[in-house]
Amino acid sequence: MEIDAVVAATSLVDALRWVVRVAFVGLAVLALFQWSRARSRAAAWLGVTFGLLATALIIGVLDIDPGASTASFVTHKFQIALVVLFPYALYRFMRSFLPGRRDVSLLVHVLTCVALLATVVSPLPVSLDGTTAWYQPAIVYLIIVQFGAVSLAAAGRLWWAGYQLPAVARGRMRTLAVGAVALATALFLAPLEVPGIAAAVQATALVSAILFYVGFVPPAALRTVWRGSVGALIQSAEREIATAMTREDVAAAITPVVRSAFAARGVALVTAGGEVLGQSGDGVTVDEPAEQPGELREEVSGGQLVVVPSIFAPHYGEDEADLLDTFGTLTSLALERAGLFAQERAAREQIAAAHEELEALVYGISHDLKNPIISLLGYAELLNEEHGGQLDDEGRHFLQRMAASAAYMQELLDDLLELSRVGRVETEAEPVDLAPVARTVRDEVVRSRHDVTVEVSDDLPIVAMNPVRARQLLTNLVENAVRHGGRDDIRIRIAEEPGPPGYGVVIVSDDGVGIPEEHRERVFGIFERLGASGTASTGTGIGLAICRRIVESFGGSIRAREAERGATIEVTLPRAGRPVRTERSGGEGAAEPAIRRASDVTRSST
Amino acid sequence: MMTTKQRRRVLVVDDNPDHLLLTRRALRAYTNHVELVIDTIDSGAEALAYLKQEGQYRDQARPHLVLLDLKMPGMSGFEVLQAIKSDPDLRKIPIVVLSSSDRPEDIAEAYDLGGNSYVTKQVTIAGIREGLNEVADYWFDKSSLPEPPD
Repeated sequence: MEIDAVVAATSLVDALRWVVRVAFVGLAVLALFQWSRARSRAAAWLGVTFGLLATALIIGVLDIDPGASTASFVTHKFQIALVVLFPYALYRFMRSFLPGRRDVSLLVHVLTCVALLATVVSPLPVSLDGTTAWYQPAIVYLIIVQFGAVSLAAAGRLWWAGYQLPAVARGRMRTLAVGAVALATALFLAPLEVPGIAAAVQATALVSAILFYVGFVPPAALRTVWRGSVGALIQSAEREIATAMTREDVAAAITPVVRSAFAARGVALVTAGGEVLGQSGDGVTVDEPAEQPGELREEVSGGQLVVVPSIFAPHYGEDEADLLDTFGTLTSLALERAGLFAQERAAREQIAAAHEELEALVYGISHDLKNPIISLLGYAELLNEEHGGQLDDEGRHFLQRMAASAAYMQELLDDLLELSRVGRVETEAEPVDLAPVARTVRDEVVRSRHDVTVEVSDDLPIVAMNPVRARQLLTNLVENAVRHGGRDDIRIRIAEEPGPPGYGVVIVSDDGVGIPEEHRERVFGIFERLGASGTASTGTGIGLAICRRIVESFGGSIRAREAERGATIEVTLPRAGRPVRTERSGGEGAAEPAIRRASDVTRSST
Repeated sequence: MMTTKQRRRVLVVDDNPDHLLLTRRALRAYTNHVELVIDTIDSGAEALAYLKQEGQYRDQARPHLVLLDLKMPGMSGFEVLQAIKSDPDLRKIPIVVLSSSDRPEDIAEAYDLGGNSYVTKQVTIAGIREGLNEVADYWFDKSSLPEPPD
């Protein structure tokens, strides 16, 4: 029974040996195939590494006795040399991914050369228990040191490279590192003829071959495992992209996420015209429209996402294509949104520019018309003065009508100019007590129109606006009431009323003919006049439009209220000294008491 | 004994012939304190030739006061103003800019170039007269003027 077990064990080991040989040869062939396709140095050196080992193993099959003949001695030496070269090949494999330090590289080369030389030079077969010459142990130790040091250095660097890389690349590098260690260990222990260990050694060698294979060309399933949760990646992409307002922002947000997800060398977002909106990493060439080998390109709205693989994770398959598709959809949505923002911004700028142009035009025209009007009026009056005697009554009447029309034109132009100036010129807001302003306006109006009565309340709100504009506003409102009231002895009242918090409300009301309901909004339009047309005395119809502009430019509002008798214009303006709140409480006269306490007055005057 | 009024020469420069006429008419009616001689010119280049006594203006006497419009084709009022104020002979002559523009930029520019006063043109005849009367009162009665260069 024991013998059977031993025989069985030996057969197992032999079977494993064959599997290992096949595996190594297979790996070498695969690597060379990969090299022929992609010309990558990593593939080349992997091919060399396993080629060396496969050759050594095949020679081993021949089971040559080194002492039999010179040919067999040389062959044996050759086999040893192949194994000695293995760590060097592994080192070069690692170097195809990462730059090495020059001093380390030099050391490796020196060690390898020395070991190789020692192998070649030693006259007798090298064996672990050989004691034939004094230098043989030295040679053995040398080779052991070289083997161990270089292999570990290579494996160590491969593992360390993984630290800096994103998921898939890291997994790959680590797998290769473990494979390298396993292989080196297996090779190291291989010469030991201890039966129990032999099986373990072969198994380790086989595992290392598998690890190398899987690490070099990782299957999709493994890549998925390494990549981690795709959901998390996509969520992070969505988060980054959510605040992107321009196409460049979208590129800046999405390219690093994609780069990380694909462990890519570089990711770029390019337009259909080849312009690079943004990129992460490097290596993206946009000049070639066609795909470079290994590259992934995804069509997005108006361009492409280009993913350039790094040497650490060069293989992209179906899963990657699907993932890129998802990223592509996200990117397209974000790009379209950015496009809409840009359109909206452009439209707004266009409108602002057109508005400015219009204002400038109004200003320019109003101005240029002044000169001919001066001439017209001047001649009309001169004609009247110096040659009026030669005309009959009708002639003089015609002249008077001409002069009146010209004067009206001038008034219109002055008002238009004023309107455009209110829009154009920025004026600083300061606290303005409306009460003294109202009293000044009252005095002026009453001076020229004796029948008009203007009552001004003792207290009016102190608002944040400009004193000149305040005067203009109240003058226009009072003049408007006088003009359109329909009576010479009209009574006008200027008073304060309760308003929303932070705002002061002033009403200018009269007892004239009033404004019909359907016109209450229209009166604030330009050139809207509801009375008789053609005569200068009824005004240009711009006065209320100017009032509205003034009030709105300081953040207030103006409207015509419904009133049982006469017209009531309600002006709302932000109070001075208090921050203006954008949300207003609903309804009129909601919270504020109608009577203001003295302390309120002093507070609001700060 | 009748006090002889002093003679004062005024140059009015404006490309608009109507305005020149209206201004001349208004000034002609001015009789306070001085006797006015009014010269009118309708281009900036010619005004400079007049002032520098070039060509047909070789023997032209220089004015005591210049009323200068701004918006003129060819040489603008600003250019004329600058030329006068940078000429060592001419710069002592006071220049009143008389313009329909009330833009702050124009006003600032006029004073920047050395203009002595800026008056916005009036619209009505009465306004023109009143305005010019006040300007004449100020410059010929209130202020003292140097003798213009020969």
